[in-house]
Amino acid sequence: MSVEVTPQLPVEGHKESALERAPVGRKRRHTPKGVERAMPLLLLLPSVIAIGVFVYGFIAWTGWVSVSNWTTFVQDMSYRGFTEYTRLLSDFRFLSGLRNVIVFTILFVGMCALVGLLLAILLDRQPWGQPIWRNLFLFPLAISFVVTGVVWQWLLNPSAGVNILLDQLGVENLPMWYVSTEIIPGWQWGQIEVAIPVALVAVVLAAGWQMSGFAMAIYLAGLQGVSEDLREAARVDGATELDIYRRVILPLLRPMTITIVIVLGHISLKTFDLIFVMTGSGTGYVTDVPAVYMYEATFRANQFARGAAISVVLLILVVALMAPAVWARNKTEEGARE
Amino acid sequence: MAVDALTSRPASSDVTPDAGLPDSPPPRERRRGPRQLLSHYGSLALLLFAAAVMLAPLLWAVSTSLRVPAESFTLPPQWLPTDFVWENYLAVFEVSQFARYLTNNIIVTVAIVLGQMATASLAGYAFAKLEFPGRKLLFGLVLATIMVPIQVTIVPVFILITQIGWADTLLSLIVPAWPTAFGTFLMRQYFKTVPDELAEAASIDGAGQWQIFYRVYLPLAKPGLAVVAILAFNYHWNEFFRPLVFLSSPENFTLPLGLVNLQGYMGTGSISIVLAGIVISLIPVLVIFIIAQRFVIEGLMRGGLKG
Repeated sequence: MSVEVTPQLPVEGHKESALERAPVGRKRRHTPKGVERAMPLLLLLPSVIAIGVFVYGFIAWTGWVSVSNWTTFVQDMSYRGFTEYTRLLSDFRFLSGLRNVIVFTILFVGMCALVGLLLAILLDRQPWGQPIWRNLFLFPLAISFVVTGVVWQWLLNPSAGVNILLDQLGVENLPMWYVSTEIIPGWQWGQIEVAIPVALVAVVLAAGWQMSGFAMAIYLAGLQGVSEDLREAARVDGATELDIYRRVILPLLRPMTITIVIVLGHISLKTFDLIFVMTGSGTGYVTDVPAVYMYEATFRANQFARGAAISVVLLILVVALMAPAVWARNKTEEGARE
Repeated sequence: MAVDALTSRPASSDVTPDAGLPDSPPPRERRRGPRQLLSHYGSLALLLFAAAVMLAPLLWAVSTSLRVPAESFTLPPQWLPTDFVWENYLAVFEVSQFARYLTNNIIVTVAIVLGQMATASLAGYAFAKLEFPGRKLLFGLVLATIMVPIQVTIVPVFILITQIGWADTLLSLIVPAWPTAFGTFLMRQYFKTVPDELAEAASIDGAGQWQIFYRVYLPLAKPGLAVVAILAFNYHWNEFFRPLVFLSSPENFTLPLGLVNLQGYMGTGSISIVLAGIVISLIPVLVIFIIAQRFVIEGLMRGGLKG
């Protein structure tokens, strides 16, 4: 006798519920009608319109200003051309600022990653009181860049702060910190020297002090995700502790490094507060950055077209440098998922 | 990195109980050889050193703020305060409108945080739970704005608020800050962790869309709201650029702006008063940080590691 499965008919008198009325196999959902269907739009509308107009719309507006005639206090939106951009390409201050912000980003992100990694490794091996240490290193993150700038401006002031200490310890050639106008080494390229302005190192120290905790937190989370079994297996295979770190753990931390590069990188490319408060543009523009130049061009010198051009270049810079990093992050995630 | 697990001894998790708490790593076999002891105390010493370096600038700030103003520049920096010129802290309020700076900062920050909590939860919910065409693209566009430098949009925003008549008011700082791409991103993450079945159960019970959001999902996403609130509070409490551009009268200044003003005013003469102002400004930050550090870290992790 063949067994047949017949669908059960509803029992006489049984009232169908909404659940039973819904088609089998498809997602059963309360079908929105009228106002309810528009609900997603209503929820999103304020924020999305705001972002659409106030970000994308305004980016376009600024782009237009950068090619306009608006070079004085009086607003003039007539088309001029790309003069401002070509001028920037031969502008000593702008080129210095570009060099500075790139050098700063590399040094800053590098310092944070290194210090953060070291601290994370130390913390990982030191379970006692971990939350205390962690909070201690994270606290500077909560501080304003203004506060950091004021404090470190005093600390690294060549005639006060740290130098007084160094002097007492008998150090002879006291560093000039952010007052220095040296650029090391001096590879000339066009108008500017493509190298490291010593003054920037002072700013890197201040910024790194503040943000290393972030890298530490990210790395620590990554380290704590490395199972003990993996380390144990490596040890049994004869690996030394150093080997374990180099060959096993560091590659596993690669996604963390990419995250740190993305987050800290785009913060540092846009740096304004710290430079403005701590050093200003510096003699010979050794500590100038595009964000500061944009502010002074626009709000001090009323050169709106120039300020707009600088901010457009800054936008392109951030997107161009961050896009590969974000792409690398997506690739790593996909690889990890497989 | 293939490690041959077949030849290893039984994994340590077989012999030690798994104590995987979120805060501390699983207990490790500790072979108490001299090398291990040295490494253990060595890393402790290094940590102490690192902690000292981290704290040093703040300790200097505190101890210098307690110095006689005329000497603050010339004498070598000290970690521990030697003089206790508490008058410096009073002087901060006399020399500048510090009390107003504080009040303005509180008003602006709280208003921004409340507004952001509202917009972020609404938009985050929509992106997480509601389906509509173009959702992914729209969210991507929203997310992309995080990278946009504020310099690119500041001038048109400034012109706009001037035309509305908000220039040099706190409103100019508050309202434009209400939409938040990062906050939306965070809330969407939190909403995604809440199962969809709850919505179905609620709608079968007769709840409308708004009620599903307000009474079912939103309460479950409270931790997310806390993270958004804390991060937004921290960021906007310390914000400098927008107040610098939008505000011109000292009585409207926010705290970071006021501090810079104070520094310009007193900086060359007496850094100790400026540092007193700085220490005062750090107190609310410290308090919030201590109370909410769990949320801060969670927010960092979610922002950094996922998405």
